Amino acid sequence: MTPLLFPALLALSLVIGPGLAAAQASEAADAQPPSELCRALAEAGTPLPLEEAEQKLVDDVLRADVGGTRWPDWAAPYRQSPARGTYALLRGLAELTQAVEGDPGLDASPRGAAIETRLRAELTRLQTALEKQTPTREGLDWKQLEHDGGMLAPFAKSSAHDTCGDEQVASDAVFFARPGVPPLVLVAQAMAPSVIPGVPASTGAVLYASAREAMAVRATVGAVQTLFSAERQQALDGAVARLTTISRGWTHYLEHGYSQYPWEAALNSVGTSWSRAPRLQIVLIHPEPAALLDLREAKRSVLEGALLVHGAGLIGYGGDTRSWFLGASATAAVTTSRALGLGGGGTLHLGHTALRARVPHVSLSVLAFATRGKKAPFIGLSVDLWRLLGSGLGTSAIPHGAQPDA
Amino acid sequence: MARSYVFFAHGVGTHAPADWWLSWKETLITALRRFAPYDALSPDEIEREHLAFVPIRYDAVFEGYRKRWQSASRALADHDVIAQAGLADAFTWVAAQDGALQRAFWSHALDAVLWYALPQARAAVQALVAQQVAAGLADMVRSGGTGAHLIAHSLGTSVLHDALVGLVAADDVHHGVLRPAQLRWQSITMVANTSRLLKAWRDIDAQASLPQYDPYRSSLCPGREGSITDMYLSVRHQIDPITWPRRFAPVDWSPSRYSDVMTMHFRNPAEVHDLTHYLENPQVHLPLLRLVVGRAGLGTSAEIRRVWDQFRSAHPLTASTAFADLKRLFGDDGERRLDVRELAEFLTRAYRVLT
Repeated sequence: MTPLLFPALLALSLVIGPGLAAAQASEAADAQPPSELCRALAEAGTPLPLEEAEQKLVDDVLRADVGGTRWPDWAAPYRQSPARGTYALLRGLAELTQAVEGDPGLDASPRGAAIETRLRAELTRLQTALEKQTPTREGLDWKQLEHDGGMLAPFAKSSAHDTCGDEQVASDAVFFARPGVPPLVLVAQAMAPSVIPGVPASTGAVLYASAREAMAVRATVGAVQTLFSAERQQALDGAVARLTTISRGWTHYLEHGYSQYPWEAALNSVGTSWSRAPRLQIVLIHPEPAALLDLREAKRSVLEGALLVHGAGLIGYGGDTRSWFLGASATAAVTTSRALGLGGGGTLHLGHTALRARVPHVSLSVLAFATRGKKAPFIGLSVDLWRLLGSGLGTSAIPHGAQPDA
Repeated sequence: MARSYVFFAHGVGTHAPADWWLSWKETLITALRRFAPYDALSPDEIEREHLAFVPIRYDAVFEGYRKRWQSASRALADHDVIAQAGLADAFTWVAAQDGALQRAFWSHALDAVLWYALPQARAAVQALVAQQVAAGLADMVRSGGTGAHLIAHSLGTSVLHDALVGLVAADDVHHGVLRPAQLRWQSITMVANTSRLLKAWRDIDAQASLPQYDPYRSSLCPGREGSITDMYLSVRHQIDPITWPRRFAPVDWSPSRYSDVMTMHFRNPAEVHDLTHYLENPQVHLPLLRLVVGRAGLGTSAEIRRVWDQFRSAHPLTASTAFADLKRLFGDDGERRLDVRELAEFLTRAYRVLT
C-alpha cells in the first residue's frame, strides 16, 4: 500500500462509510493504538495551517466545481418521470456508473483508482439491492437498500475524534457532504488543549485528496442522493402521515374522549404503547352530575338533579384517529328528592372526539329507583364534567401541520 | 442554501407556544458570531444560510392533567382515591407541604412525575414528539438540509431519548426510512441529562423491549451497531441538582464519540439549570457549535481565550450551598432508583429554588 493510498481509503470510508468509520474509530479508541486516524495523520505529512488548507480548497475546488453541483440538475428527468421508481433509479445508477468509469480525474494515481473502485462498488450494491425489490404502493423497501454509511445515508459525512498519543485529533470529510459550507477535505486535524477545560483548539489540517478526486467523490455522492431524494421524501412523508394519525389518536383519546379520573388514568395505563392509541377504556367509579326525567307520569314529567356514579364499564374507540367512542356502564344514582332513594341502572356513553368543541359528550342512563315500594323508571342525562375542567388545554394546542382532524 | 437543522426539546413547565425556543436560538447564534467566519454574518444571515431550528414541544400533554388534577388536589392526597400507589404517596406528600412547595410541584415537578409514573401520559408524549421529530426530519430532507442535531434539556432529555428509541424501532410505522442507516443524527446534546433518572422501569412499548430503552445500551449510544447518532454530548453543571441522582455517566462509551461536559461557573444558583445559562458557557457552546457547523476547528486560540475570559468574569462563582440539603434525599447512594414520592419531593424542592 502506498503511503498515500491509506489516507485516501480512510477518508473515503469517512465519506461513504460512516458506519465503518465509526466502528474503526471506536475500536481504535478503545484498545489498539495507534489508531487508523493516528496512522493517517502520521503518513499524511506535516499539517498545513488550517486557514491555508481551506484557502487551497477554495481556490482549487470550489471555484472549479462549485462544491457538488457538477451535475446540478442531473437527476431532474428521473424525479419528474411518471415512471419514477425502481426502473428510473436503475437507469440513473447505470449512467452514473459509466460516468465514474470514464472520469479521467480518477485515473491519475493509485489513490484515484482506489476511490473509483469504492464508488463503483457502492453503485453496484445499490443496483443489486434495487433489482431484488418488488415495487409496492408503499414505495421502496428502505430496509433492503440500507447499508450503514452508504451513499444513501443522506448526510454522507463523518466526523471522528480520536487520540494520537497525548494529542487529540479530529477528522472531517465535511466537504463531501456539505456543499456551500466551509469546504474542508481533511484526513485529520490536530487538536491541542485550549484555555477552556475539555475543549481542544485546532492547530492544523491535512489535505487528503486532490481537488479532482474530491470533486469526483462529491459529485457522485451528490448525484446518488439527488436521484433517490424524491423516493426518500415520499417515504418520509408517508411515515409522517402515519405518525400524525397515531398522535392525533392519542389527542382524541386523552383530551377529547370520555374523561378519566386519576384512578381511571392509572388503570387505563396498563399495556399502553405509544405507537397505538388505545381502543378500549375502562370506566371505574366515575361520578357525573345529571338531570333525571321522571317517566312515571308523562303529563307532569319533572326534572330532578342527581349524582350518577358509573361503577364499572367499558368504552370502545373507533376510527384510525379514535374519532368516536361508544360504551356502557353500570350506574348508581342519588337524587336530591326525598321521595327517591338509591337508584340503579345502565348508562350509554357516546361522543365524537373530532366534534368535541361543538357537541359535548353526553351519557344517557336508564335508571330505576325504589320509591314507595314501586320501581320507577327514569331517564338520566349526564355531562362529562371532569373533561370540561381541562377543556382548551392539551396537545390540541400544538399545531401539527398537515395533521388530519379525524 | 443547505443548512444544519437544530432540534430543540424543552424541559418541565409550561412553554409559550410561539416563542419558548427563541432565547435558545438567540443564545446559540450569539455564541456562533463570536468565531470567524461567522463573526462577519448577521443573525439573519446565519439563520438563512447556515442554521435552521425545529422546536419540539410536548408540555401541552401535561397541561391537560395539570388543570384537572390540581383542581382535585385535596382528593388526590387521599390514598383511597388513586389506584397507583406511587402517585398516591406523591400527592399525599405534596398536600402536606407549604404553598411555595405546592406551587413548585404543580407548575414544574408534576410533568416529570407524570412522565415517570403514568404510562399513558408517557405514551402520549412519546407519540406527539415522534410525530414532530419525523416532520422536522422530513422538512430537512425536503429542503436539502445537511444534518440533524438535537439539543434536549432536562425532562426533554428523557423524553427525546425514549421518543427516538421508539421511533427507530417502529419499522411498521416508518417502513425503514427512519432507520439509522437511512437517517441519522450528526449529534445529540443532552443538557442536564435525566434519561437515567426518569427511565422507564416496566415495558412501555409493544415494539421495543425494556432493555432497548436502557439509556446506556439504547440506539442513542454513539458508535455502536444500529446507533442513530454520530456524536453524543452530555452536559451538566456541577451544582445543578437535577443532574445529581442517577447521573448519566457511561463508562464504556467510546471517548471518540461521547463527551461528558461538566461546567462549574455561574452567577446565581437559581440559574444553573436554565438552558440559556448552559449555552452561554463556551465549554458547552464551542464543542456543540463545532458539531453543528461541521468545523472541528471552530475558534482560533485568541477567540477562545476571549470568550472564555468574558464568560468567567460574568460568571465568577464556582461553589454554592443552595442545594446542599437535597443530597440527603437520596442519601449516599446516588445510583438508587427513586420511588415516585421521592422523585416528587426531590424535584419539588429543587424547582422551588430554581424557579
